[in-house]
Amino acid sequence: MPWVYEFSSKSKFSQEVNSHAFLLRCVPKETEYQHVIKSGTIIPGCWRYFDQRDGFGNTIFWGEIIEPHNVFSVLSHGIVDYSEGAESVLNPVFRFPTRLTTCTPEMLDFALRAKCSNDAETVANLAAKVRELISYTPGSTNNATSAQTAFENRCGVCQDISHVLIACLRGVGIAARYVSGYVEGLTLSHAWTEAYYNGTWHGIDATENRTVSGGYIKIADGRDASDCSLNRGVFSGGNIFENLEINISVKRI
Amino acid sequence: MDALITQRDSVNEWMSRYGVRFGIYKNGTFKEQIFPFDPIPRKISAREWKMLEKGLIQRVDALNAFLKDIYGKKQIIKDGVLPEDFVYSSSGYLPFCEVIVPPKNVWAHIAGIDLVNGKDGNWYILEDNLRIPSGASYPLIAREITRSVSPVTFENNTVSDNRNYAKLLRQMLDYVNPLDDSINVILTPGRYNSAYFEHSYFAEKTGAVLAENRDLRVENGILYYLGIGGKKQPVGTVYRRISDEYLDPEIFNSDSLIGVPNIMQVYKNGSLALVNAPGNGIADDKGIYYFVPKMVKYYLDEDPILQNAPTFLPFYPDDRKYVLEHLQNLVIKDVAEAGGYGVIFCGNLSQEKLKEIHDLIVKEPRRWIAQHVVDFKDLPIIEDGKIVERKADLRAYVVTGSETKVWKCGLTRFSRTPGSFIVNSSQGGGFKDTWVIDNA
Amino acid sequence: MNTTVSKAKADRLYWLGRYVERVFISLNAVKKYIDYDIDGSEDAYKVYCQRVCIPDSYNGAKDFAVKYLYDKTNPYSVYSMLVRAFDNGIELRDDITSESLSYIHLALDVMEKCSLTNAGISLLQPVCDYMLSFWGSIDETVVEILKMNILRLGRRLESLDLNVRLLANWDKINEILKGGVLTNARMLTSVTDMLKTERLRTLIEHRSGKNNGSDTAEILDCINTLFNA
Repeated sequence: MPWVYEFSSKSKFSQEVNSHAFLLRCVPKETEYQHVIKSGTIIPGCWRYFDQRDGFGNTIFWGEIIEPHNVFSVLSHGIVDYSEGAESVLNPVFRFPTRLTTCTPEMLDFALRAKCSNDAETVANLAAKVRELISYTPGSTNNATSAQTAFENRCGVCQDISHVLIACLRGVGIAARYVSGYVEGLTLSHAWTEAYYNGTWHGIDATENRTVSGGYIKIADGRDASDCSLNRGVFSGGNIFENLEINISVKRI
Repeated sequence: MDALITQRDSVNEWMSRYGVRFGIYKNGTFKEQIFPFDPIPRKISAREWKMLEKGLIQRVDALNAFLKDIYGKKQIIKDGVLPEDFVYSSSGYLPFCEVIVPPKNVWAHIAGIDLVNGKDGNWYILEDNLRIPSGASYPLIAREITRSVSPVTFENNTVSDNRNYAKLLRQMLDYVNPLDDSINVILTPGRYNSAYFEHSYFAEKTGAVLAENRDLRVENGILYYLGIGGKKQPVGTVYRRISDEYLDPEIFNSDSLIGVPNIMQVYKNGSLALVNAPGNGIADDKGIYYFVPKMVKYYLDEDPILQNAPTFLPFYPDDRKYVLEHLQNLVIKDVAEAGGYGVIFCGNLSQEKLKEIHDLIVKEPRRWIAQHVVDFKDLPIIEDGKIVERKADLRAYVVTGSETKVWKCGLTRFSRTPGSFIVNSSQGGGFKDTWVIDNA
Repeated sequence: MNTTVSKAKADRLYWLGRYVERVFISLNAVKKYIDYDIDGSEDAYKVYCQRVCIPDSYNGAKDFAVKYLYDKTNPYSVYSMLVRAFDNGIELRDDITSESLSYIHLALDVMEKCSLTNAGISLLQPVCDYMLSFWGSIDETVVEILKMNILRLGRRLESLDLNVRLLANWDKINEILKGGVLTNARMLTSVTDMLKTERLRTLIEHRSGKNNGSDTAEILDCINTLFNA
């Protein structure tokens, strides 16, 4: 069953900026089970940019706008379809902690208590336990907040919930990775988790406490959020305030 | 040589005149200090050097082959020579560099290999530095000064000329440069970096342009040096003196104020050589060090000419058992630390401290390596007008361009504290020239 | 391949030229005023301060003779000028060579030593000598004409500026203008304001031969704003 997505983002700058270099992840990833039927992206004011893959195979657009500008916008739309998940080879890097997903002894203890007789149940149970523990509190954390901090403070957003879950899963020996993407019904981007067992990856959205199915469009995956940021930009100009508006829609055709 | 000792003050005056210094942060403020120079050189015979040279080339060739493999097919893991844990849990491993082939397939362009000469007469490798090994400028300028201050010393000794280092660098920078009509740049974080003298000195001597990030910009897939009046010059090679994590704020540390946005993409597309290649941290990781002799065998099918200091990996249960039972005879090193930090000599520790180390190893075996203390030879230095003996190591510089070459010199660093094995300049050590004595 | 130079480096070259020249001219000029003060005309230094437009923060002539030379915390002291020259030079080693840079190192060493004993100005003569050696070394070693021109422009503009302030005669000023500033500025059109250069020429030629006039402020303004990397 195909799904159509539309993505738009618009950064308004309080003053003109120049030499603006950007790196975007906004186009769905082609995977064993998610197939990009078509997609198109427009970056107004940018006469040339590069369409490539990053180290994890996610699509990135990068380039720059040298001339002074007040607004930077990106529009992307396309159609995605799904198939049954095929077997996939595990990249062992997803078994190991990163700076943002270190599993402290307290977290390991927490994770071990949630362990079940098989990996599928452990993943579902841990996701539920993590969601129970962490209260969804927008503004309580930022991009650089580690799983440890979120675990200790017991609050965070989807990024933090995913980080805590990833840290715990890796802690009990289940490979896990971070996913960012678009979800039906959410106008902002979302983050969820994938766990590897029985020879393939399984998506779980701990924040919404459900397994991932149609309507979840994966843009990027990686070890943690720092591998999957949707929009990075560096520009020149002093003391500038950036106002970012994002609008996402995902619909079944 | 006596002539050189009596000319010591004169040598120091010339050093000061040329601003031969290194920076250090003390209590939060930046200070530049003289890197204490000792006039008595370390002498290495031509015969001994020949062996060292062969061994160093072999080691660096193996390390380059390893880097190519680890960011490509990973055959060494598949063949069971290296456990994957040591790769994927290392902070030096950069997934971004997967499948990248650097220009001319060179990764470790400039390798600084630290060796010591043991009391048993053997040379041992202490560590490989494949990211931004610094220090070559000091013996280079020291030689230039000592030659002019005390020519008689060099008339009476057949010392190999070391003044070709800038040429070695320049040839390598040109060789890996993928663009026609482009310049080479030395990218420095700026004047307040501890090795700024060296950055600017090498720029002068190699003809590369010394630049900071504000002088560079990526445009349309090419890196440019931005000149006045809107003039731009394409840059083909960047000898960067900025560590990986600060190099590109779009990919790595987004707070970096010294990096160049999207420089990694230009590199990935093959339009730029980065010297040394990003991702090299995986090969000079202290944990990976243990495996380098195995790499020599694996990639080159040769027996290693130079040995590691006897090393144990607590990661392996047998080694762990040994280490925990013999702690007081060992040096323990934290694989994540550098510059003489994170090195614990267990011999002097109290029972309590030993217990602490014991627990740390049990808790995170992968984080530590353990070595027997190599009792290395003392070298004579002059302290308060008298000759005394101090521990010293040797950093050899290996430059890989079209071929792998060892610079016929090296940085001999010594500890100023009697009996101490820590020779790092950041911890108060000094340096000597290193003479390779040609056969008359 | 034609070489270019970044904006940051162009700025440093210009200010290096200015500060090295400022140290040299200031040391030579202030000698005379310190000398007047010896004879008891206690106010000569005040005239000097007024002419070169620096605040008179000194406690009499003796205090001036020490602090104007050696007070590192005073941004207008000769020591501070030399430090500024050094700050610019240290980032230009690859452009000006270690050889040329070494003269500034040497001058700083002399300055530091003299400042420890508040030595009389005559002991600072080596500093003047090193400044001249610096220019000699630059002539011998800096090959890139663009960089050379920026350095020289800085030097000549500083010379013009101080000569105007210190009331040199206008024929001399006119010579400095024609001898260097105009040539260097015209070769650096991408970093100089040609209108200002021409305006400066007109103003100075007009003043040549006369010694008073009300347009000194405009002349100084042109001198100090015509370079802009």
